[in-house]
Amino acid sequence: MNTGKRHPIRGFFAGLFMGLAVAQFFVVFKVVALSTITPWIVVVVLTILGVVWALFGPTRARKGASASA
Amino acid sequence: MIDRASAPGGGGTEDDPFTVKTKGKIAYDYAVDQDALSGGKWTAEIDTGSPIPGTETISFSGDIDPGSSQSGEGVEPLEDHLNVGGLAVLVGKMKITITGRASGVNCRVVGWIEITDSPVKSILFIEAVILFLFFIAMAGVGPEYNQGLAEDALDEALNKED
Repeated sequence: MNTGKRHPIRGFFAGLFMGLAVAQFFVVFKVVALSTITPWIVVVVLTILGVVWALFGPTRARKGASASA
Repeated sequence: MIDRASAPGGGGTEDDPFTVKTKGKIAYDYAVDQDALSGGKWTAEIDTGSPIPGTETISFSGDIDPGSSQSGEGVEPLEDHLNVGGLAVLVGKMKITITGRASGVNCRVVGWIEITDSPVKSILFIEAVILFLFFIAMAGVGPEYNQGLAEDALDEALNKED
């Protein structure tokens, strides 16, 4: 029987960090203005994507699992 | 000179922001009807666009010289305000509100500015790189493939033999 160990909390923080990073890159490279809601939308969308990826993303081999197969 | 704005007047809008360089200077002149603001306080608030209460603005403030006159002019270097350790504090386009307050009198100027400098020499850029590294550290968020309890026990047994 195969089971999947999921990490939604880690996914939340990964998405949040990615969202904050991308939003700040957008501001410094003048893709969007700071004083608008757009950078915050980027943060929220990527945070949600992080959780969704953690819950429904493709499985990956657990560390050390492939060596014993 | 790279840009010009006046209040009331042209410039400093979202479509045509007042452009400044972090190591540049602002030449200004002003005139007010009364000497009401002298000895008061000024604040500059940068709108962050954040919907989270308490994080909507980044504020700076200072005192207005008690001896300030009804009109004047000067040149203000921006490096002292916009640079820390050779890095730009902020880069990009943002909305700023400058308010002068004294004994119940308010004078408010709202406009858009664009702070220009090398993006990679800004604190925001370095912060973004650090956040991206945190993301990479946590990037393996997909569900792990687990072989199940029986196979786990077999693995453990094999490992012990090794």
